[in-house]
Amino acid sequence: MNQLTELVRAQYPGYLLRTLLLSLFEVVVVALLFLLTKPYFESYQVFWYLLCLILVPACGCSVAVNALTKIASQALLQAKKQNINIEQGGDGTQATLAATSAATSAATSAWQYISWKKVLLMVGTGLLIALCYSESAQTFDDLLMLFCAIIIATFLFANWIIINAALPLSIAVIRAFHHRRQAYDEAQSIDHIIRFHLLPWSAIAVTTLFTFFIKYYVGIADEYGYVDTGAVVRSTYISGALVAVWLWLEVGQIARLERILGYINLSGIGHISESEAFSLVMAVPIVLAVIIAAINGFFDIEQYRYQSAIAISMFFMLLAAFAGVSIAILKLCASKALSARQFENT
Amino acid sequence: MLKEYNMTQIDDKLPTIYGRWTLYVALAGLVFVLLAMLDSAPYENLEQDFATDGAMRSGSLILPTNSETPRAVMIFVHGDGAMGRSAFGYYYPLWQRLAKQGIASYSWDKAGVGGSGGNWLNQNMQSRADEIHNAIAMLRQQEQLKNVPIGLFGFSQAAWVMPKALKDSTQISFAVFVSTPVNWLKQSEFLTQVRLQKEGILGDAKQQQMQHAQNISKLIAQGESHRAYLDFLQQTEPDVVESAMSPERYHFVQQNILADSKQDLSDIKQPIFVAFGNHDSNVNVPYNVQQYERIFASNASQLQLNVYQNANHTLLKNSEFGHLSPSLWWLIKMSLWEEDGFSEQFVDDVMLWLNTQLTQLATQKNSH
Repeated sequence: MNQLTELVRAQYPGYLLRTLLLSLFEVVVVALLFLLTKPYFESYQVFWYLLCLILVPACGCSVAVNALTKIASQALLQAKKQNINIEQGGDGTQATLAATSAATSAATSAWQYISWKKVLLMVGTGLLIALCYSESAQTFDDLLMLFCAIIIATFLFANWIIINAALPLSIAVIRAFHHRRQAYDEAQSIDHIIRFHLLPWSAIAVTTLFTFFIKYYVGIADEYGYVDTGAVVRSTYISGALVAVWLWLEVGQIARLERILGYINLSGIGHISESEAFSLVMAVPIVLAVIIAAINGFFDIEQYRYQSAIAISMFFMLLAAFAGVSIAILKLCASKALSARQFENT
Repeated sequence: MLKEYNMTQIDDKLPTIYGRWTLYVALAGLVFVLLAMLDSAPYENLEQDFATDGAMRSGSLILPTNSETPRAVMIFVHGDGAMGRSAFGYYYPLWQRLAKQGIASYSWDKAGVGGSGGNWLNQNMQSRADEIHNAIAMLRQQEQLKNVPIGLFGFSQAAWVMPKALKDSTQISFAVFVSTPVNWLKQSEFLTQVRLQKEGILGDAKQQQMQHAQNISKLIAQGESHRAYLDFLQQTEPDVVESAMSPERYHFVQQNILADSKQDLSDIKQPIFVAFGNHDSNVNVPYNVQQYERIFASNASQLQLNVYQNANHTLLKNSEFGHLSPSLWWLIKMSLWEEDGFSEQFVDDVMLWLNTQLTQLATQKNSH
């Protein structure tokens, strides 16, 4: 009996539901954000098209990475409990190859199982959905169907990635755990964090919110001719908090696993509790909002032309994205959910 | 200390019965949703812009898909406020029903809203009427719309726009007026009365407030500056200075406060359909019904006037939509209810009346 295959397969039904709910949640949150801020949906069609192109690959990848990491964590936990190990060398199958490469090139990150081909296919599907919407009567019903199509496409791609990567990733993770020789030093940890956490998640967060904020400010500027400082400060806080919470939840999960595998080793970070981490997540954007308010006060800026407001808001959102990842890393280093002691290697 | 491990060999891909089936189901679902999206409305929506007053208006031409040449085109004329072309989705059920009857619709984003240039607060009723003429000129350039009758379908503030457009035009054959008052100042007075009633202000206090509102209207009508208006508020009612009109809104009101459509209405030759709701809290329905009947007393056949039960200012069912302001929920409810959201018989009556007008026009054309 192939114990590990059974182990991973046992995780699957639960994570199918998780994938569906995450797809629903991520798309609906962004869709509501767009709908609630400016209802001129019929006048800004370009943003719905952009949203298709961005959301399908962004949500597809983030949902897949999140669920894959959960599956791999659980598989590792179960394998540890049942003392399951994977043989060295092997039979040349894809799974074993992936596992072998994991030992040398850290294929223990779910991101490494998302190929450019898959991303292009997702962008292509986003384009197809946008084209169908463009050819439709573009009523509100069509808009709701557009969101349904994005949710289904997100689920479809996330599920496809998970089917192909769940086993190889779990193998790679278990092997990496059993055969780790040396934990990353601080410089390697930082490289790893930038490559597999900061860049992909920040890109997704900033691209999605960038599209949203252009639509938001164009709407405001259409109505009032300018965007006032208060609106920029408010939106910076809201978007900063949103990005930080999202990254805290998303990256925290993945980074926790990587800490167990010894890929992240940052000195000087002590334990923080869940509530302390949440306070940090909510507090960091306040700092950003205060900085904007102080800059405006210093330069006596009462209102922005909207292009500048977009640029400034983007810059601070990028900072918020970085802050969110940093908090997630703090959180993972202090995580008690999967304590290092439980995974002590022999 | 050494631990004993179960060594396992990975020799197969993950047998994913759940995964494969969900993939197939999701793929089928995606195809179904995309097909439904393409087939969900009996019309196609074409982007059509036109130039007016040195700026572009961005609009949508709604063409029925059940006939090559539409039987007519209805131009939608917005009420007050920053309205996009579909008025937050309010027009969709009407476009849909018109399209089923083979009638096209055209509507545009107000100046400065969505894709349109300019600023709607700089417009007056005459410039909005000119805008309609420019839209008609653009529509007439479309091969399939060259010879079809054109009608207007206007709401609330369109009361003062449509008569101006109708009286000067041989291109417009008929018009539907929805919740359209005759006199701006009278409407303003009614709005104040309704507000005071809601706030429970009665007796002398009510009289004082009414007088105060009249003084403000007088000040605006006399052409006083926005500064003078703010000073007046500061002296008489300092509490409301914060909620005073912005300079742009003040300028807009000042341009239009003396609007009265009586003369323009008596000059028009086209038949009109006028609809009011009995729960309208923006327009004094009995007063305006009386005015319309008086204006068209000499030619009663030109006017069809109906007051609908359980209908508010938008002619939507008051029991279902009266308590809602335009919001996401309003939009969702509207899109779910579609035509059923309107007061009973309203849409049917409009369609019947339009069909009658189109039949009469066709008969006249044939007899010539």
